[in-house]
Amino acid sequence: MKSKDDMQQRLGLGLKNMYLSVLEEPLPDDMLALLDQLDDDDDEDTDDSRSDLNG
Amino acid sequence: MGKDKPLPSAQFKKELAEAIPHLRAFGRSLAGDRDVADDLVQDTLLKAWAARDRFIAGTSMRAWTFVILRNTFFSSMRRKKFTGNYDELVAERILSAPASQQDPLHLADLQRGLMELSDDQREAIILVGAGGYSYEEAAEIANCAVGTMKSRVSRARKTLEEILEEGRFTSASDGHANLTATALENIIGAVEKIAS
Repeated sequence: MKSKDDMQQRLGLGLKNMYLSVLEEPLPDDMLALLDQLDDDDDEDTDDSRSDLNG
Repeated sequence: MGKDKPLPSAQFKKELAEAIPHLRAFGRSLAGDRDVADDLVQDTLLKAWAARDRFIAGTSMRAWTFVILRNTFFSSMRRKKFTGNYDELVAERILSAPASQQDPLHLADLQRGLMELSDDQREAIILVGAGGYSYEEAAEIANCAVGTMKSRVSRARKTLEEILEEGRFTSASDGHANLTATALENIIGAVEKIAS
């Protein structure tokens, strides 16, 4: 089943490359700006955070 | 857990920043769209920061934020804020070299194939197959049993292989509702976010 092995190999490589290609991208400016502003946002409530932490 | 100390804010922020590229990769794989995924990451950053006193020093920031991101994604999917999609134009890239006489695997095909999986199977194969997480780590992130995670990965891999081998994709225009409607929803979502 060489073709099956080939497909599995290509799929595995493709998934990893898809993920790695995003890691190598520079971060968008607005995301960096958001990170910088986090200290200033302490008073802003994000009510969803608790439920999102709990699944 | 109460006796565990949270990280100092500066250290928390540093670890959070280091997790961002992985959040973007995970988010894009889940959502299939760069802009939607980045919105998801930004929501995750805000929620993580708001809940930072609950993060335990010495544990994995990446895994902790992945939980927030995937829960945000799935709850938003239920509210139709983020619609499973893929970016056809951005995705037109060759990902892997051809194996023997096979055609190369294109990112577009892979993303389209991923979007044909169920949400839990897509998440499973992204975490284990792309992100390199162990079954145990992935199960913890997805809040399921290890056996369930193994089963999801196995089924996802099999289904994805079949889809890619046979090229039996759902058409982009009818696979996940209507792309125009999706774009409109994204615009409305962005406007709502700006307005709020």
